[in-house]
Amino acid sequence: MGAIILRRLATSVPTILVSTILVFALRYLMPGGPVEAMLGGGTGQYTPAQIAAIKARLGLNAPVPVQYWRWLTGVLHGNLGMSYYSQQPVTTVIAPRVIPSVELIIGALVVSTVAGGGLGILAAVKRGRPLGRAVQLGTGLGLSVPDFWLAAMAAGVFGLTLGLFPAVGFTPISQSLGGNIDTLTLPVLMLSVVTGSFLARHVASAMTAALDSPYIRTAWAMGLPPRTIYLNCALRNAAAPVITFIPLAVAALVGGTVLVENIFAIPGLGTEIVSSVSNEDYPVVQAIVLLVGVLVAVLNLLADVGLALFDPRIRNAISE
Amino acid sequence: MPFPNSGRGNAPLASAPGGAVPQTALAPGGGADAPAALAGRGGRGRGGGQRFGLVPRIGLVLFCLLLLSSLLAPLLPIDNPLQQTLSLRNAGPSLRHLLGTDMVGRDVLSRAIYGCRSAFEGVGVGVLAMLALGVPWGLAAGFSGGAADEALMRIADALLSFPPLVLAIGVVSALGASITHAMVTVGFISAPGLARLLRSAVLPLRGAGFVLIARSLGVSRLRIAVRHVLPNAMAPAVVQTVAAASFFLIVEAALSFLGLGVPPPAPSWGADMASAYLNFTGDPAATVAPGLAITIGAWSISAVGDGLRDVLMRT
Repeated sequence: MGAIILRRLATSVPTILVSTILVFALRYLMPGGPVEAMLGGGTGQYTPAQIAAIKARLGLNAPVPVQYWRWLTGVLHGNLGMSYYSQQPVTTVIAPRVIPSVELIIGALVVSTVAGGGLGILAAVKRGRPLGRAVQLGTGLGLSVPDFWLAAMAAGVFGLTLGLFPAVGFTPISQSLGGNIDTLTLPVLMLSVVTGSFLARHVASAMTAALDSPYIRTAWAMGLPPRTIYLNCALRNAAAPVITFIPLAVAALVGGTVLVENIFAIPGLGTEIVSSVSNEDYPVVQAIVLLVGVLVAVLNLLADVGLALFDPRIRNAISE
Repeated sequence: MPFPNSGRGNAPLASAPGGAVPQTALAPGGGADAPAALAGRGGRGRGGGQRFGLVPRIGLVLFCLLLLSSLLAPLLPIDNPLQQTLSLRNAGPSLRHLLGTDMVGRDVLSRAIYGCRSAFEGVGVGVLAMLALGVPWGLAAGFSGGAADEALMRIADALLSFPPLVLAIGVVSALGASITHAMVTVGFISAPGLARLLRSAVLPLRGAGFVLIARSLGVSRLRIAVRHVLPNAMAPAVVQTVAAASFFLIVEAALSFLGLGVPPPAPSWGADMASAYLNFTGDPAATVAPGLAITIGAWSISAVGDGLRDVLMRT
């Protein structure tokens, strides 16, 4: 097992490297380059000598690969630069923002896995019948509904009109657990609609494939109870292809949290990245994009290792 | 956010985990795409299985209606989407304003109809960018094989699950708010998913009879790849492109909702929703109309994609 983890770890290093190159390259997309970005209002009002001094200070005279290497080693030491806006280290700015976002993502992942898994099994078991079709249609619709629209309306109806939950705001878990759950319920539920529908679709198609296989026919012929056949025989085989979709679900949830956090005014990475864009606080944006890329790569790794633990066929395929 | 690189329903085709796991390892359906590309294409006539069903037809009709109304918007008997009537703010539905007016007295229905235009523009830009990068990528990887294939697919794996919305925000912060920049980014970051699918459809065709014959006749490799292999391997890529278009529609709205896309006075579903939702209880129609438009647009496109999958790909 250790060898498998190592082998898989070796393949996620290039993944993470590519995301760092991508993020590093972003700053060269800026019309005036990093200098103008730092000066904000354009370089016109500065003398060439001043600009040269800033270039030297930022290390921009070195060749690009050297700059990349310096930046990368800095990042590995936890040095993500200074925020242009607050003049604080970027790590100080984004560190408190991580927990609310992670809470949202984990909560939505749990809800959508449970709900999506259940609906997917239902769709496969009742396939071709009205209930199965209804689930398929519902999940198809769930994939097309913009989650930020649902979130906006939920904040209006359940928050403002009915007053069941707080419409906006966030109570940290360190302050009050109940308040934390209260403020996160609506956002998590709204985030789960799309991901849940997505997972339901994949569970349904994997379950359908499993239910059509000969060993299930044998199980029926042996007279096993339907419950055992569905949950013990079919689901177990259907779970493996579904696990590979969890990192994709996480990537999608990350996008969704940006919107949902902004609607419910949750102080997470999503609100930070949007306000940093309007403040032209480029280092913070860059750091959050990088953090997200690495987060998704790590989750990919975990899913693959989980898959290998779960399914001996894959374990054998990797070690060959 | 929905799922850029996943091709929605077609679970087995969408992605293999990492480069380390051979596709055939995912036995229940995982290896199905390679034989399907051969078996489905080799025979006479269309290789597909089912017919274009009822739900896809409904989707196609809805999509055509949206497209027509966005093209013919100036001819329709609706108000100018920019015209403000301050005496009629947050008005309910009336004969003149079927869906009422928004917080500055603009006609909600008219803005929803004109909003189609910016939505479809964004989708078009995204799809073009995705095809421009993804098709050569997948074709080159699948047709050349060996080390080039390995390298191209490693890069694709690395980009595959990067959240498109977050990257688009990063690019917009560097280049300035522009829906074109954002959608080109989203298209590019979705290209690896397309490349991966195309590559796995191209791979089994490398040794196909018609390729060997073309090669023995002295046809150049580029011509074989583009004229002979690509048309035979396109089915999964077409399905994926349509699925991606539905996702792009939502991303365009999301970016405008965050104020990073279409600038405010112009009618846009996302931006209109952003300005209306804070006043949801006072004037629900102004929030509901653009959201419903996004949902219908995205659903109709993905229903067409599901129908195409049934027709083009054997399951």
